[in-house]
Amino acid sequence: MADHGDDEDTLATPVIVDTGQFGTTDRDKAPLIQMHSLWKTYGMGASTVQALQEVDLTITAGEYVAIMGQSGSGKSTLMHILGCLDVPSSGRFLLDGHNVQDLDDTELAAIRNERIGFVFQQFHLLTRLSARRNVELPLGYAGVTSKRERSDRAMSALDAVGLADRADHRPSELSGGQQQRVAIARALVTEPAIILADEPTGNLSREQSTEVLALLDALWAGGRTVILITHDPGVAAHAGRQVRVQDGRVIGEGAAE
Amino acid sequence: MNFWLSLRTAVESLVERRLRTALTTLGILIGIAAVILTVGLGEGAQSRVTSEIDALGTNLLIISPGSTTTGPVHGALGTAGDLTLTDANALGSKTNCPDCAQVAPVLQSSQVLTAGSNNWTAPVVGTTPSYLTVRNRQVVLGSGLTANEVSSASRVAVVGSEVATSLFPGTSPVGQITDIAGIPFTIVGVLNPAGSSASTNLDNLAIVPISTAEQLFGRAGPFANSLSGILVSSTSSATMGPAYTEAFSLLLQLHHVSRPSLADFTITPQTSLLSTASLITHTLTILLAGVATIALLVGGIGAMNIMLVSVTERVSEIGLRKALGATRSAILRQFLLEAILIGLAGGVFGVGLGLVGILVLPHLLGTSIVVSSLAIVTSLVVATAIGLVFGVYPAMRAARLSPIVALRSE
Repeated sequence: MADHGDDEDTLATPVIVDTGQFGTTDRDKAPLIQMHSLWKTYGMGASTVQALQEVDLTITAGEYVAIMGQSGSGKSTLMHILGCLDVPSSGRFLLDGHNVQDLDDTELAAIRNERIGFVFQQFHLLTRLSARRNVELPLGYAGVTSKRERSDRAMSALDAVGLADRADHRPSELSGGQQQRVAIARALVTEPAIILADEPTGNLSREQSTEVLALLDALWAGGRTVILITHDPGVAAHAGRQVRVQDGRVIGEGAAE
Repeated sequence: MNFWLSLRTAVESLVERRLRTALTTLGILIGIAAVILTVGLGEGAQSRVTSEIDALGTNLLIISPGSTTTGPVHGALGTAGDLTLTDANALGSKTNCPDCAQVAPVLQSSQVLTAGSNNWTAPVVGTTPSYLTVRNRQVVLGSGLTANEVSSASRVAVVGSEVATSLFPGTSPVGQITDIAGIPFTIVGVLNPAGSSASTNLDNLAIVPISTAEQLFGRAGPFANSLSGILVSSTSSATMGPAYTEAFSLLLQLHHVSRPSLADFTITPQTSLLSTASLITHTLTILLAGVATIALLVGGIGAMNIMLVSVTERVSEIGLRKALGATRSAILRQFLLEAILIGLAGGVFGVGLGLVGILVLPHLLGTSIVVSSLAIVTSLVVATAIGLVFGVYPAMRAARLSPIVALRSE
């Protein structure tokens, strides 16, 4: 979880108030993500594209945030920067007190590994590996050298998404919803502070979507910061806070209507 | 990511694409096998040439009539144009040629030998008892020529093993009579089998006293006493040089030739035969090895090509691994390991194929192939290095991929 920094909590307070029902009353309210006047520019000269313009965004540890926007709105770019997959062209981005711009490739890789769990629209499971081996992947990069430990941790993550009995199945032997749940287990296995889900239900049926969203809800309830990137208001409604993005700018915020 | 996990990942990925891996490996395999075989063939030829030339006799100087230089006729006809028994006797004198050990004059002609209903054509060599020493031959049955037989021009012959079995199949030829050019000879001995050397069959010959040979097929007229050649052995391999010089100046003197460039005879040391032959086989080996190296290079380029395809194909996997925390070096290591494994597998199987070839080819081609452990170890190292060298670029491309570009593609 976020450390007790000296950072001032200047912006957005979470709308969802912890109920205590999930044992989250001791949640830290320090800002986990702080973006200030963030720009992202692609290309050069006449073909320059301003993917993000002057984005200010603060996310507190334990929030459930949906970033909403149509395709081309810049929400994917924002997600890439939030996930430390890309760096902003200018502006400030503090993640857990670290200035991301100051980090090199190896340090960014370490941040992605330790603090961020990714869930993608296309699941991105490796087809030749079993569910368990897929979930083990981040542990290999985290330097967990014990095969036993990797396997045990992967099994408990699969257990958390209700797929322990499917551990030895390959992705092709699982339904779309099950594949996405394996992907969520993979996102969980390193115990990251942030779950970053990019259109997690984009390739799923309604029923499967419900399942996956319920799982994300539970993760948030269990204390994690969940960031959903979506164009679907129905999906966004699961989050306590919506950030609307259009033409590379944050155009509005608010709780679900 | 620790090494063993990277290795496991690399192996799994190669196994998953087993057909492609096998074909890529095949490129390197063929190159390595070709290198092993050509180097083996070259070394085999080398050792064969060496042993063949050794089989001609040890520390041998071959003196033949005529000059290797072209130009006007040297000396008057019949006076000094040929090698004679006088020359041979002079060379045999310790005072004239202290470094010459043995001298054997040779008067040679191809003749038909008959015994009963069998007949056989063989070179008949008229010479002296020293011939066997100079030529490094042994009599395995009966005895060799004696000085007496030479001085009395006896009609006796010592035959090679092939002549013996052809004329007298199944029986001992010693004591039997064979007709050479219609004149009966008693066979007194049989030589040891020596195989063939430099396309000459060493077992197909008959040796007779030189005096008898002169009567039998010596020429009439001014060349009546001319020899086919004189074989001289030096006292040791170290005295080949002095023996050459002594023989050369002695013959110049006997033939009344004033300038060495006008010599009407040629002395060929066995060592020069050896070095010429070695040079030829060595050049051949280099040529073949060059071709094999090109094959190996082509194999390596093929491997690089496939690795590049593999990287392009797995862009999304690379992106995912990066998103999950793989550093550039982790991706680099994974792809480099794949390339090295392909190279190593090509090396191991290539050496295997090469060894099979080395076992089989001598039976098919009748050539000898020498396996050297150095060639095998070098091949394995080279194959691995090829994997590494041709894997670096594809692996670096993989490592440098941006995770977002990589994840977007699908």
